[in-house]
Amino acid sequence: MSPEATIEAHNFGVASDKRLPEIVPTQIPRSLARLIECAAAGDLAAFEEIMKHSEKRVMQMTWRMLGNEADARDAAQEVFLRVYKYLGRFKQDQPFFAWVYQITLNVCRDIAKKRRQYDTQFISLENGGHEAALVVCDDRADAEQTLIRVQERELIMRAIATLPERERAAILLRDLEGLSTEEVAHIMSSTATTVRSQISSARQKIRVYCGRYLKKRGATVE
Amino acid sequence: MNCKNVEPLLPLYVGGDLDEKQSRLVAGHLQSCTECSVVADEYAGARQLLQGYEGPVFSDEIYTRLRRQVLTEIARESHPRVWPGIFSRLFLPLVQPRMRWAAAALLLAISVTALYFSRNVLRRLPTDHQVAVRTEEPKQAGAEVRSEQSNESAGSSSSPNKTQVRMATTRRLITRKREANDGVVATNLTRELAQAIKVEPSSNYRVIQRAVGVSQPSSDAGPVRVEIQTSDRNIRIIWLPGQRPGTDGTDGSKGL
Repeated sequence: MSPEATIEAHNFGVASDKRLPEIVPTQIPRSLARLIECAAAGDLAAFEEIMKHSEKRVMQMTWRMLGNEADARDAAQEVFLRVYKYLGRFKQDQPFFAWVYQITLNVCRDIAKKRRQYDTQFISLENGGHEAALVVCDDRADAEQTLIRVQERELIMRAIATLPERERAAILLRDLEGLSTEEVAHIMSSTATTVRSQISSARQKIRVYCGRYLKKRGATVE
Repeated sequence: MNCKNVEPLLPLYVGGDLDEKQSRLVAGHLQSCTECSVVADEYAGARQLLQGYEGPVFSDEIYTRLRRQVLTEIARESHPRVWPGIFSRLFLPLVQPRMRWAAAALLLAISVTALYFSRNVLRRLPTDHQVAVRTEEPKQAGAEVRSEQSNESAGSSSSPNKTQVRMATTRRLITRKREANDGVVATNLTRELAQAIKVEPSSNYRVIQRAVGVSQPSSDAGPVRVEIQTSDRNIRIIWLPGQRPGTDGTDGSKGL
């Protein structure tokens, strides 16, 4: 890989913001395209650069889909292995991260099938993973705010865990990754109408699940 | 637009997933309907909660380890070992879940073939305990056969119905074995018997008999006793090759 490609790799617009519409750009940045070409030709350094710029999103997505760190790491590893394996088939005119998300969802589905304890693990192991985050929050905010945040997180986590797999994927991609309905449909190999229906259903379920808490919070605020 | 029409659109409305026309209609309805506004607020609150749902912050160490593992795996796969590669190419498809039926069918076919061979082909081969002897098919079972065997013992070897075995050859073999091993009869004695015992071809012969026992006496002087079970349960040939044939022409065989 040329040094130019390495330097440019840091500028292909994959910021670490939570919701970024540009993560599925219609045009792949030239630097990324070049990295992909190099990696497809067997350049491991180029592939490592690609990994560096997509690993956080992949890990977050796998963690949200699978609900625990161990599975998330296994899934992320498998995702990158598949990305490398099929990089030659990737067409430059399609959005790269949509393609990566597509692979991510497939891997998560496979792992979830293997484990056969999808929902149980999602809830039970999640709590352990949050301890570190709780400590970090503790430094910054007062105890009450931290407690509320932890409660909310746990609530939404459980709400997500109740969703069927496709609804979960659709709502995560739409509301957390900030992709458009069409992009989500492309990733999930579905139609925009179907995705809208899945998103609507997921939002209804989450609202019902969190309804009591929301009413209580609304009353407190008022 | 009434509440019944608006309610299903609210989840999409709060996420901005409706087209412009529908959004305007829903917004207009919400301004006039308190109940639907409350529901819309709940949807918005739930969405807000969801968007505030941050994943854990993984350390750089985890990411570094992940990259290292992936690169190691890629390097390992790009230099596969030769033999496992060939074997996996041959057999790995069979252990794939989608190939399990094909694998099961293949195993079944192998089992059936093995069973067929064990029952039909291998059974025909003589073993240490089996001797192939052809006997002429008795025209009538029972007493008639017995009488034929009695005739044979009595020396009527020229009779066309008696068991025809080339005993002389076998006797020579056993004699030679005795000379070589000082009275020890080798375990493949019966195999030699199988080779030695021949029957003149005839259309109505029965095949496959069993050497019931070959007993060797402790001293060289004693006779060797060979028992051959014919296909007819009622006929067993006991042959004492060490004995001299009777003066009347018998060769030491006895029909029982």
